[in-house]
Amino acid sequence: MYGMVNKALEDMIISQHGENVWERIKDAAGVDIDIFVSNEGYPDEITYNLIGAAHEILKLPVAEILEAFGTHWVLHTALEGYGDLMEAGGNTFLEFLLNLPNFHSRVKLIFPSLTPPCFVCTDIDNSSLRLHYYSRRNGLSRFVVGLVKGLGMMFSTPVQVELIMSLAAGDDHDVFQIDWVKTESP
Amino acid sequence: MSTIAPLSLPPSLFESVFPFHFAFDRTLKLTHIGRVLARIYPELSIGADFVAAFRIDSPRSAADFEAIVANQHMLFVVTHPEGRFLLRGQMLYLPDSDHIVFLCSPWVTKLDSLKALGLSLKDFALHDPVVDLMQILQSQNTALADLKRLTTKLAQQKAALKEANQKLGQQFQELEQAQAMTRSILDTAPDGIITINASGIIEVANPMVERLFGYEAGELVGSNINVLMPSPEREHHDDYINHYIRTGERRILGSGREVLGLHKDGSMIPLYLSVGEVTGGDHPRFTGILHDISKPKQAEQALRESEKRYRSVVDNIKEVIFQTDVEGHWTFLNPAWTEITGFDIDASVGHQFLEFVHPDDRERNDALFHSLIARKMQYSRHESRYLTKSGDYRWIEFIARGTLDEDGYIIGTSGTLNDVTERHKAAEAMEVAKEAAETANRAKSAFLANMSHEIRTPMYGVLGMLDLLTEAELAPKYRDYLHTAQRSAKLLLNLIDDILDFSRIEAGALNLEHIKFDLRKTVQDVITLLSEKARHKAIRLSSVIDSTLPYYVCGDPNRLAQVLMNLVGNAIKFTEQGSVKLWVEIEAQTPDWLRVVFIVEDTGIGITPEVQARLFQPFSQADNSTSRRFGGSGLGLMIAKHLVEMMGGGIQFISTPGQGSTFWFNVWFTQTGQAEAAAIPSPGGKSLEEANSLRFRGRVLLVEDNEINQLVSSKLLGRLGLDVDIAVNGQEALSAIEVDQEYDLVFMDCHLPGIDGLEATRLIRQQERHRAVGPVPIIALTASATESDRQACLAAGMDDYLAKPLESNKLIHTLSRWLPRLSEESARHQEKEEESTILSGDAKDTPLIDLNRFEEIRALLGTDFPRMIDIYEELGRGAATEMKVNLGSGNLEAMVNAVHQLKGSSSNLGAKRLHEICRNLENDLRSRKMENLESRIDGIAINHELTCKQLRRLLDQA
Repeated sequence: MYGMVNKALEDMIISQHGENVWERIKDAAGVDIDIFVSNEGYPDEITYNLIGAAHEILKLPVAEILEAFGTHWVLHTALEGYGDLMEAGGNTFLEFLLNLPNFHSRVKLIFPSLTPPCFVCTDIDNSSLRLHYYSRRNGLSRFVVGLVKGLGMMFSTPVQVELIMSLAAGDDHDVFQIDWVKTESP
Repeated sequence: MSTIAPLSLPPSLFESVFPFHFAFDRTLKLTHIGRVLARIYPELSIGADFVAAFRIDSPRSAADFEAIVANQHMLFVVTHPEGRFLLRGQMLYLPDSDHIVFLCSPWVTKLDSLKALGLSLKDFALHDPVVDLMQILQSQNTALADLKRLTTKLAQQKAALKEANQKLGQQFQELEQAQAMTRSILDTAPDGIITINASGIIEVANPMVERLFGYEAGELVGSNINVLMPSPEREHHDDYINHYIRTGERRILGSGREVLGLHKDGSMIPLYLSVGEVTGGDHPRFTGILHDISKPKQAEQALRESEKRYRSVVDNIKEVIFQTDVEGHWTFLNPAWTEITGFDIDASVGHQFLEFVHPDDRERNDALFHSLIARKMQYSRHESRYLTKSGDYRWIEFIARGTLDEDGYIIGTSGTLNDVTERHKAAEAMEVAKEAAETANRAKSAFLANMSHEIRTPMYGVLGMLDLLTEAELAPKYRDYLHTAQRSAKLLLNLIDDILDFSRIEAGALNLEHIKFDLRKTVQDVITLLSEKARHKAIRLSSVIDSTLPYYVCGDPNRLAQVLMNLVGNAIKFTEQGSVKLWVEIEAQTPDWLRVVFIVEDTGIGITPEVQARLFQPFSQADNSTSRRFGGSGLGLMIAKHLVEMMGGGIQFISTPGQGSTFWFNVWFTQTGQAEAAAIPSPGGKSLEEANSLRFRGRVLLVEDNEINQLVSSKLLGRLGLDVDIAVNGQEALSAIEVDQEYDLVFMDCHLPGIDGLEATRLIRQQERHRAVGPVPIIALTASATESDRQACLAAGMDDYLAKPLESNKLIHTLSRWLPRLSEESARHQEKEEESTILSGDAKDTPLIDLNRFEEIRALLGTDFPRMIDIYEELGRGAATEMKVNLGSGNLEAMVNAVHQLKGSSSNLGAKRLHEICRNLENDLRSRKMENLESRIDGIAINHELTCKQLRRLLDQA
């Protein structure tokens, strides 16, 4: 997993629960890394362990943590750290979603060691689309939900996200039905 | 080879692939502008001049068509003329249309540049790597941010590390200090400290352990502790440790006990050992503290021995040693208690000490005890009677002090009880003996006083009658008898006086007078009085008086005369032939004091050494034959010695039997501070003949019951010019004084029938106070010549005292004190002036006699010199009388003639001072200076008298 993800998780926990809780979570997760390098790839289990430990210590459901994490990732980590790129990513919620697959393709080119997820948008119209999420990682569906909701907030667009197909349900990838209220012309 | 159809793009597609392109013709006019370029560069329009719209940054070529074509293999960078953006791309010449097309896209190095140009990712063709560049730039920024975070984190960690290092260093230093302190404690500990492991091997032994056991430094470490132990501990120690480790059962761990240590030299060391287990290590360790108790052991032994000695003393001492508590209960008694009282110690301790004290003594004992307890007194010593077991009482001396505790609070008493019963008995016996002795002594004193009275009264009659008989016309034979009788009576009187003096000395009642007197005259009188005796024995008697000896000194003239009479009298008495000489010399003097030595030398029989040893003892004479041969009381020398000592001097002698003796004594006198000339002659020293010339004036009442005494006394007083009335008892005396208050003096006999002399005196004094008249002087007359009689007389109100029988000398002496003499009376008022007149002018510093002139005249006249002195004496007296007579008649010329004659005679004889006085007076008379003439004439008379006497003395000495 991209170091940026773990760092985002760290930022969220520290901003919401304080550094001591983060240290306890790290201890509980058996993670002895002081600094996550954003563009460095880390074993996925680190992220999973951290989320598991957060669940244990914060007494919150994993799904809730993941969704909140996704939202936080967009609104704080990405926007604060990648604001210019995010803004160049599209002028509207739809533009941004449509650009999302190219974005990950380019990431893959630039950081060949990373295995970024793959997004595909289908059934696109002015107020909905289906986002297909292909990933070799399991259990991050709610993270994607949080990401999409965060993007809606970024573009001041009320968004509804529904997982209509999922790896957990036996499908070959996750599909999200995304509906939003159209506020401007794409 | 098949022909490949040329590729061409429809304009809309070309537009989507190259959204930033533009083209221009040979005139450099723009012919095509890309869609997105037109959006970000709205001022640009078709037909615009390429050179004006853009600036070619690279390559450096001219901005003309051909130059661009020539450089079309190069990367072209052109910029907006104002620098708003930069385009990078490739110039392509299209020969068909003779145009150049620039295929390019904006070059950005900062992500925010896109936003500034209003561009988003979808404005770029998908193939355009600028988008990827954007992503890479973003990654670069992210990496940079991570790097910054990492650097910050590193800095923080470095700081934390540094801090940790500092703390660690500090802890290390503290640890080192703690170790040094531990080492120092071990090195300087006054006790031995030793640590062993579970195998008994010594790991630590401080220097004290090494010193205690006699090992070198470091020698013990590594050895088994049992090398320091004697058997059997030595053999079993390892077992002790193993037993403890196995079972946890302690023997001395955690406690201490006395043990013996084994010194390297084999000797034993008494030690106090405390052992503790060292906790915190991997294996059990034990630390022992070893305290050397050999000194305390020695001290303990010394204390035991001292206590034994003390106990031995306390048990064997004769005195009771006791202690009580503050309430007086015995708390300690030693065995002497049982020895003295018979009571058992155990049965007595705890009882009140007062229970053992005689009931009559308890109150006092109780009071003294409480004074000790209250610390009003520090020490009490008294004697009381203590009960014994047999019911008797013994006298016990109780000596005690308060006993204090360490804080100074009193906790009882301690002291000794001493059996003083025997001493008490002896003291009581002595008291009885003392009382008996005192009674006897009082009886003796009474007897002496009585005897003196009894003897003196008839002697008074005898002497008085003999004295009067000398005035009768007697045949020479009877006059001799008379003189013998007088001498015998006086001798007897002297004996009585000696006995009285002795009794006074014994009683410590002999007192000295301290009056001004003529020392030279006193000496001369003694010589004169004894010269007859010497002449009778054909012995040459002479005196030599130091010419610097003052005339007047203060002292007791009568006692001095008594001593001289004794010594010179003895010298004459014990000398059969040869001479007796008296030297008088000044031995030492200060302005206030004068010490005079008197030396009496004879050529008599001398004194044997045996007799010399007891010469000053009372009742001692040279030998019995001496007393038979020479008579005397044997008290004279003893009295003389005592008198001399009372006068501050001492008496000594040397003597060679058959050759003679020399006695000398010295005496202190007070200086009178006057010049040598006499002012007032001392009547006390006058001889009877001289006394005859003295006259007093006044009325005297003589109170005397004895008829003979009345006769003698009245004759004597009458001869001295006094009118005498007689009263035979006290009552008559009172009446006489009451009727006639004109008496100048009263002589009062003490022993009178009816009202005695003392009582009569008291009544007279009462009467005087009652009538408010001045007191008449009353002189006691008594044959009781003791000091206590004298005190009784003075206490009754009498003024003076005379011992009977009355003697002319003493009578005159006393009268002089109370009555004016005729010759003095007129001058009495001017006594001071008289003295200063006598010594006036230059005369007072002029010597009385010019010795050179004297010697000259003496040599010239030889044996006629004494006669010449007689004539001079007569002349002087005549001159004085004539001057007085003529002073009364105012005959100045006659006065001048008289003084002139005396002046001339004085000059001839060397009477230097009188010559000068006469010359001054003559001059004054001639110049009619008439002040104080009468007293000046008196002065001449007195100086003349002095001169005559001095001339005779000088003649005698020569």
